Amino acid sequence: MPQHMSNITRLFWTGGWDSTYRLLVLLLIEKKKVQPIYVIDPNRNSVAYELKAMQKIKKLLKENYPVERELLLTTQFYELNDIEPNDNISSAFNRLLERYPTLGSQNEWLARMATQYKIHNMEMGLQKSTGANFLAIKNLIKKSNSNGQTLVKIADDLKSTDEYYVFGNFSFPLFNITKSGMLKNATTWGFNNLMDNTWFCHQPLSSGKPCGVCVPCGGIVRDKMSFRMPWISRIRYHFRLFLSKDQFKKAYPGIYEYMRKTKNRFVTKK
Amino acid sequence: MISTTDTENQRVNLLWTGGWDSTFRLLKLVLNNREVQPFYIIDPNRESLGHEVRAMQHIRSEISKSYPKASKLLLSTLFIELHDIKENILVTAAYLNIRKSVPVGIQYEWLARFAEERGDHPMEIGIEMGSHGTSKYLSKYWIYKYFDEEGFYMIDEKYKGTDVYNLFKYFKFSIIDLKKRDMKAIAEKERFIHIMGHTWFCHSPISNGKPCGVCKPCIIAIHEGMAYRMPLQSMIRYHLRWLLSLEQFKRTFPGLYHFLKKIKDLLIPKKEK
Repeated sequence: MPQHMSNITRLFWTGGWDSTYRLLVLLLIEKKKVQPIYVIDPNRNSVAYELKAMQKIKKLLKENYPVERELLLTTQFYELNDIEPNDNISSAFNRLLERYPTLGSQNEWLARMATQYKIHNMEMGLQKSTGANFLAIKNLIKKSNSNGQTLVKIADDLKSTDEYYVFGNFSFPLFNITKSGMLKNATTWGFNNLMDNTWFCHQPLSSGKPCGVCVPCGGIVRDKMSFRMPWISRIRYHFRLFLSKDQFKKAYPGIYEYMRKTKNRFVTKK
Repeated sequence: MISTTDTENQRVNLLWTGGWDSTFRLLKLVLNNREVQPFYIIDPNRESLGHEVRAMQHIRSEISKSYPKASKLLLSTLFIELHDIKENILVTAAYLNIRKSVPVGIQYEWLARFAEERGDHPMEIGIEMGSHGTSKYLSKYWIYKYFDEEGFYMIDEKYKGTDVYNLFKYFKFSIIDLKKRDMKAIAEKERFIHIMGHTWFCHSPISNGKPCGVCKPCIIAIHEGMAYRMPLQSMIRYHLRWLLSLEQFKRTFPGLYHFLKKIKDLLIPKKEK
């Protein structure tokens, strides 16, 4: 690592709740320089919303914390399609997927990106939860120190495991805190107003409101933070089984299969 | 045919948006063995952001399929957030002064600030020959053709010290002597027209992802013989644009617009602050 980078924390910042919390802790509490990293996936409908959220948070930082704002470096952008294939990582990810079927696909390309661009120890906003991402690594994490940065990583003696191939380049500083814990801290430290500007939905409606149906929207409700969603999104959340084929399939696999077979009987495939 | 000469000292900094003009220039450069460093400024308030980035990805993958050697000359795009560009009083003042008499787009202000901050200018910008707006003033009055091995246009040295020079000295205008239909003819002749089909032009795509038919770039595209690129829905919207866009209605029927506005103001008085 170049000398000038040694005191800079690299953070995968998406404008979402977890990574923004980590960003604000680093800047406002730990007074550390941060290099944000963002990957542009043009097929993700929320790209513009995430970018807008980050822009708004930067603006509020400049207004409310001008000194700490200077610690935030210009975001480094990478294009998803520029990330090169890596068979070792993809195979390891596919094996993990067999054990954790809901593991997020972003973990696979993030691991490839970190390897291709030699980004080591990048911090990820993975929070304590019951999600597959957390469960996949929860028993493998160990704290250590490197160049003044506290690392919360998969232990080095697990280098040959699939988990290390996929998650080994990253540090997970939010490993022991839940979303509501973050809210409590943000309120105590006085930056909860900045947290209100974070974005979470992957499939915003044409009105620009959260869909209430996608995985992150469901997570918001489960984490008892539905106050962050407008009423239309909350109504959609309650009807999510009828609004999303995936959600319906997950909740009623038997009925889904029966309906699919019935449909196939009447509508022959071309 | 791509030769294997060293292209490092011929690298071109190009402002690339995935649109027709800048993509045409990009293709001309890489197919002529020039290394290109594209730059894209992210404006999250631009509704076409996702469409433009998608278009650039499709164009890249088409180039690597059709011209694998040339695709190696196209470097990864450098993305910069609009709000991260440093303020520059001189550039902003120049823009505001010109704006008083000439309709110059705001993008030239932030692109000039970006070029100054980066220090690596002049940058190539894909502006076509136009009969209105900035393009008209540039091509009719402000630029001068400088002859090197390929000939390029820059702001005329005689404007040194003026606002026009302070704003536009950062750019090279390599295709300002071409119209969209000229580029189409060249692309057909040089057989890269199939890649041009992946470019994006609309600033305000409708919710199903189709061009709106109402915004300025859509209208320019139609007027310049590119209507064949518009889906039916966008063409219908184009013909009904006066009903769909207040700006278009105001421009076409200014008298009627002001008459209706007065009636509205009479019926619904403005709230006092």
